[in-house]
Amino acid sequence: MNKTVTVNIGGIVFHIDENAYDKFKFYLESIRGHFTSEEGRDEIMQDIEARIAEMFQERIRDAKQVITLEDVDVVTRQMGKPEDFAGEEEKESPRTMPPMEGQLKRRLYRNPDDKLLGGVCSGISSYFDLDPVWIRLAFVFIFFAFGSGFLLYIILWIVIPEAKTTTEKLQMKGEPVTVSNIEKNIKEEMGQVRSRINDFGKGTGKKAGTAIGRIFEAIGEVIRFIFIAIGKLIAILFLFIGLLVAFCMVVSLLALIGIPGTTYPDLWRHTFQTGFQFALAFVSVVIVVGIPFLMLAYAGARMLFNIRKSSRVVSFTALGLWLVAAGILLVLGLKVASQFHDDATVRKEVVLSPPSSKVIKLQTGSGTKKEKDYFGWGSPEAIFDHELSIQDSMLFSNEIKLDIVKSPDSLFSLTEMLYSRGSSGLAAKENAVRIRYGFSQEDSLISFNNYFTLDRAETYRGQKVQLVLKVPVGGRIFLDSSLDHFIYDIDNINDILDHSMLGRTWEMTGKGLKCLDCDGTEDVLGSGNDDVENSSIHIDKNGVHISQPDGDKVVIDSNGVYIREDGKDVIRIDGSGVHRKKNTGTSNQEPSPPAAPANPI
Amino acid sequence: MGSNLENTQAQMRKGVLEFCILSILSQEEVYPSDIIARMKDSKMIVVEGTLYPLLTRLKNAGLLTYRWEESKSGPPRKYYSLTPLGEKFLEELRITWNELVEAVRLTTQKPDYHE
Repeated sequence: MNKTVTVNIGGIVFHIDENAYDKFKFYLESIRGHFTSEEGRDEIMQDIEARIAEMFQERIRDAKQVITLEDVDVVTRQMGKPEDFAGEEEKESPRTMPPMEGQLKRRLYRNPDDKLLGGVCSGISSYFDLDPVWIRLAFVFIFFAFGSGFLLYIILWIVIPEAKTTTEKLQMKGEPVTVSNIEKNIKEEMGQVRSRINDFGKGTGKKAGTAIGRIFEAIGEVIRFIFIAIGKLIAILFLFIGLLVAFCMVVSLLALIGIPGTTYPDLWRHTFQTGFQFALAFVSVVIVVGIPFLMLAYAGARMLFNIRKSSRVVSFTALGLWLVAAGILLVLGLKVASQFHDDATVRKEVVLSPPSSKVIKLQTGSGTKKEKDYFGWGSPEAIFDHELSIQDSMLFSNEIKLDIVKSPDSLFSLTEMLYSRGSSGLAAKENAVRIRYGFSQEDSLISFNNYFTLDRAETYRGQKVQLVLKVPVGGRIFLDSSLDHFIYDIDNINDILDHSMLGRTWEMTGKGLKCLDCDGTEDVLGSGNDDVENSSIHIDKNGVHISQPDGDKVVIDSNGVYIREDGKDVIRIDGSGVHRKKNTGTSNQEPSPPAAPANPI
Repeated sequence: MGSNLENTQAQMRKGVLEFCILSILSQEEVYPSDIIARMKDSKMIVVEGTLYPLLTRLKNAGLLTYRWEESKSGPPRKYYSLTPLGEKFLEELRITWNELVEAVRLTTQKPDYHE
């Protein structure tokens, strides 16, 4: 049984077997490729087609209505191959190129006749006129060298269509890809465009044959050429980006199955309740991200190799996979989000033993999980900022902050506030209780652990530790520089910023922490309220100068204390005593400062 | 060797092909299949496809003209005939051909020892 195709040859309708049609079509194309349009190609083709129609007509009877492969063979033998009637033309035309079998433009196909797997290598080798062995060896090499050869092979297998019909097989082996042939192909493509333009012109009753018409044609050809070139470049770009990202995605999957040398952040794994959920989410992410790029590569490959056949199976499979993966991600995402629904804090109060020395030194360091980082940039804490990591079958986290406040009584005490999220308040509390945190006190030295730990089986639920050190009034503390990234927003009456508080000794006063050994180089809280916005404060070796834009000023230097309003001294305290100028309504004889314009900085 | 012989034979046939076609056309108005039928007998043409480009070229050179005629067994046929220019062209070829035959005869015949 054979499928038939209906064709119009020389104005007469024929039914022709599909395989016979392929062969016949190729035959006509090869003749067509033999002539150039200057030789009157169209007319010759018409004549030949008319004659073939006549011959086909003779071969059709009532009992046999379909043109078969045999008929095509007989007729083409009678008519002859283009190379058989080439001789007569050679003398007249300057064209001396020997006519070859298959004047068809070469296309990339998979070769079904010479294949080991999908015929990809074989097809590529016939596209580039190479022995398939070399392409196969190259694939084997990149498979072992990078592991990506297999992926590339699968993609090419999907992308490149198989040469099924005779025409396709002949196209597969068509003209060799050489510079002159590429040039010829482009000329041919342009010729087709021109004839289409001409047909369009005829349709509107006007022939595009005028000088202006030719100019436009020429411009059109140039533009077309540019577009073809740009198109190929974009195709290469698509292919490259697509393959690159898809490759990265596959490599990231290797981390999942635990190939040595690959890893993923532990935080990701421990956000999920089970390893299976994590793996599922991971694969889904890879698919959701990877498939669009794979399709990009697919589109690029099709553009590059002029493959017009688009596989529906591929498109629908990709879309289906993508939707499934996206659905899984959504479900898992909601599931995880529900685990973060509520939060809870558990408090542990620890009373510290009174230190023997006057100053308690605060530092981090004991119980750090790593030795000093000799090779990193900056402190280890900076590198492992906000990171959850696994070591010695424990989960480590450095989400710890320290605050220092005034103690309500005369004792030093430390409050550990263990915080966690959970699906409910109760679950969150249970999560929080399982946080293990420690510090050590050796008389007047308190060392905070850099990390709190969780059981390895625990999941990440936003666990945090907030430490609050309560210092009684009169108590003194020294903040070691190792507390950088550890202290957070500690209130002090000097309004000095956290990082400048390190390396200083502080005393708790009734108003709050007060710096004992600050030298004025500390960064202070700059713009707390609006009325000091344009104020300037200079503290240097000349003394303290506080000024406001309206001229009010406080100066404290070796000469004494000056308080000025509008550029005039209001109060002056120096070696000779307290002087007061009456330029305001108030008349207070007391030497104590009046409602000074200075800000309590 | 074989392909060289074929090539030489093809070259020889090629030179006289136009002459033969124009001769046939000078006798009567014909359509391509008639020409082919007559030339196949004399092995001047091996395949039909040879004829069509040649006819088109001769027509474009102004040596031939054609008219359409409906056919019972297929598409309309082109019936070719010589133009006055074609007649003149043929006459010239005929003279050349006769000269050529004589020249070939003289150069290829064995030396005659009687003379």
